Amino acid sequence: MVIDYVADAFVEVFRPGILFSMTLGTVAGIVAGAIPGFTIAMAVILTLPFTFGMSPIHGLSTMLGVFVGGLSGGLISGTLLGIPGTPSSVATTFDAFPMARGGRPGLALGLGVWSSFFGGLLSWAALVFFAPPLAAFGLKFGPWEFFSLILFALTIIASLSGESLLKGCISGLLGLFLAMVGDDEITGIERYTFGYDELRQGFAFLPVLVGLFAFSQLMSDIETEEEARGSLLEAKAKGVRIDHWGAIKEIFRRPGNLLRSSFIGIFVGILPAAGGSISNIVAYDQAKKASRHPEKFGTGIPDGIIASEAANNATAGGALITMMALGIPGDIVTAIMLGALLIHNIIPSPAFITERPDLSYGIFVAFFLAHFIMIALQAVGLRLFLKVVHVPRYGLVSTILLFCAVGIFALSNVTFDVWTLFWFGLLGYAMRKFGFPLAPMIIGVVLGPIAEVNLNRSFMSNADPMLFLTRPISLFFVLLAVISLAFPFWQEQRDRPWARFFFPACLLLMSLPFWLSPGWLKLIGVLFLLGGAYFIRRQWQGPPPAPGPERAFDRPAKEALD
Amino acid sequence: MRRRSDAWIGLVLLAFCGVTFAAGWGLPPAPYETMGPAFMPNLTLGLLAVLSFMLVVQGVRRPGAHPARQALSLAGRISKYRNILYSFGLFFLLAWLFPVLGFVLTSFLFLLLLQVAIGPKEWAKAPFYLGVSVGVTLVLFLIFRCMLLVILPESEFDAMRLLEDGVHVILCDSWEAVSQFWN
Repeated sequence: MVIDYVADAFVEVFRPGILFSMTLGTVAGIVAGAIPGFTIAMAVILTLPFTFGMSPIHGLSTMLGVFVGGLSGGLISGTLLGIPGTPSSVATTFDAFPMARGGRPGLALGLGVWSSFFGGLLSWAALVFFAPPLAAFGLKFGPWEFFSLILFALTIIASLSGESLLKGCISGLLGLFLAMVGDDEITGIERYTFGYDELRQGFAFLPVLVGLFAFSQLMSDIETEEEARGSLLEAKAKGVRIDHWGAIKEIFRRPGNLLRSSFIGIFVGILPAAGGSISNIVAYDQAKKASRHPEKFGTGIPDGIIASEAANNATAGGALITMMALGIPGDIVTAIMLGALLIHNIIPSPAFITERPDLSYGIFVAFFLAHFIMIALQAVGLRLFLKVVHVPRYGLVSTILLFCAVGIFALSNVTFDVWTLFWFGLLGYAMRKFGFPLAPMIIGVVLGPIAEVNLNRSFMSNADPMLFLTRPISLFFVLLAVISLAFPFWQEQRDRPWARFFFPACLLLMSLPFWLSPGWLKLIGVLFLLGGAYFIRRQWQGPPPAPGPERAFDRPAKEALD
Repeated sequence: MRRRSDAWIGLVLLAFCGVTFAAGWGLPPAPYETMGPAFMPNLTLGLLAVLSFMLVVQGVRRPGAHPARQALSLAGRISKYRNILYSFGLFFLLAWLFPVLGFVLTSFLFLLLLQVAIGPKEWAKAPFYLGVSVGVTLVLFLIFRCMLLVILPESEFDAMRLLEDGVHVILCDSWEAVSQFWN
């Protein structure tokens, strides 16, 4: 019985030695996640040698503490410094930093911490009760589905571009291209290296991320003499106290956002090789689209923080599902955990949960406990970190720059990565000054290689391009991509007569993949079709909205056309 | 917000597309796959070129309404972005000197010079600058070299290596002694 397994696992994990190791691991994870340039993966890798002498459950519990701590640690520097500590907290920064700058850092931190907690607990529930069916769905993905999923994720560029869709798309395409520098993954052919051997490996993702975000943000913080001599927090903030109760109330006022974002995190986590770096941005985008006030995203509203942090912590549970049920890593951290299991002569497979319930349910329980340890430590650790941000900027910025350089160097022990950090820091600062958003470039760099590899594989398997549209799951994501690109136009043109048919048209479109699916899924197609037809009829019969002021999107004024 | 500089940026991007497209011209097709190594980059560059052209058109047709700005001379611009220039310049030196002078001396000099460059230029701050420069360098050395056993940049010069070995002996041996005591 599942209950018996869970009870036995609690007894096993709830030992002083394991709890102490988990606490140390969570502290290490929070610190690692909070410092830009020091990733969760690196922290977990460095924890690995310490676990060789431990039992499998002891070692994995410690690594889970690092993982959970790291996912939430990234929000600290993202909130207080505007620099995401990890790729999983990129979207958190969009609203957490403005909220902190606007005089509510305690609420921003509280929202991040408690969203992480609730998102993690929801993913734990999914892990325990829905592991088998969720993992089976992910197994059906072929390269067509992966490419279409990434196409959909890339269209998020449109949503994250802020005021200028054009500049956002340029930024994303630049990121896509930069990711193709180096040896082609399929053929090994050298591309765009211009004779530099160091470029054959391409640009490592972490120096690019830290350079674009951290370096440019730090430069923005010290641009003027007054700024450089001040502290990171305004003096009138009167110290920061985490607003736990306020954060919990705000989160429970938005159950839809919490549940949707957690579900997105779980789903992304299940997909092999997709992790928190994707889920936080997808969840943020979906929260923005579902909001009645999408224009407020990026100004410091709770929804943005809740979406990102719930999703990134929920990803951990999803990644564990894939690792434990299939023996395939859900992301880089679970790949390291897989290595830890292999070292202990344990081979995860679809039968792992049934053959080793002691270990598998022990992992479930450790993942659950890690969130409580994380929430307790954040309440204490954050205050210590807040002391740091009162240090004058000229001291803090210098230290962080050096730490970024050393952290980046420590990844591969090559100075080239430090140079990459420098050049992308220059590029990131220039982009900020000229109004180009940075997030789309990061998305392009992350997803570009995966998209290309899967596109290649799909054509190598079958040269028929129509498979992208005839395979139901692939068609589902392609249609979502089309809708995602059209959505900003619809938002701009909401007062036009045709705009009221947008939502029904989306329903009709989305019925197509379900019609192509076997069995009971066709019923969902019927529901979408009926829903779309109903809303079209209703809109057709209803009065058109009054025409609003004409708004142009990147079009010249009428008089300029004459 | 549209800026007058958008047109120039668009032109730079177009030039970038042209150069990289030409660089990829000679990429051989892979015989065993439908998509060659140049397919995806060329597709991306093509889209980028189209959007860059749109940016040029946008910048030329609708230059943004800027608040009244003073036209800055070169000296004025340098003065305005002084902190940025110092930071990037010193980071450039950091990356260059890491393999030359090694981690300890380079880090110390970077921290000291950057703080002096962008911070208050007062003798009273000297102890703070020196304290941060020495303290942070040693703490980072302790964490990365002694605790995590990560290799840090080493100098080409024997004298610098002696300094690093000395720091290594003091910090790492002390750390090892403390660890053994607790174990």
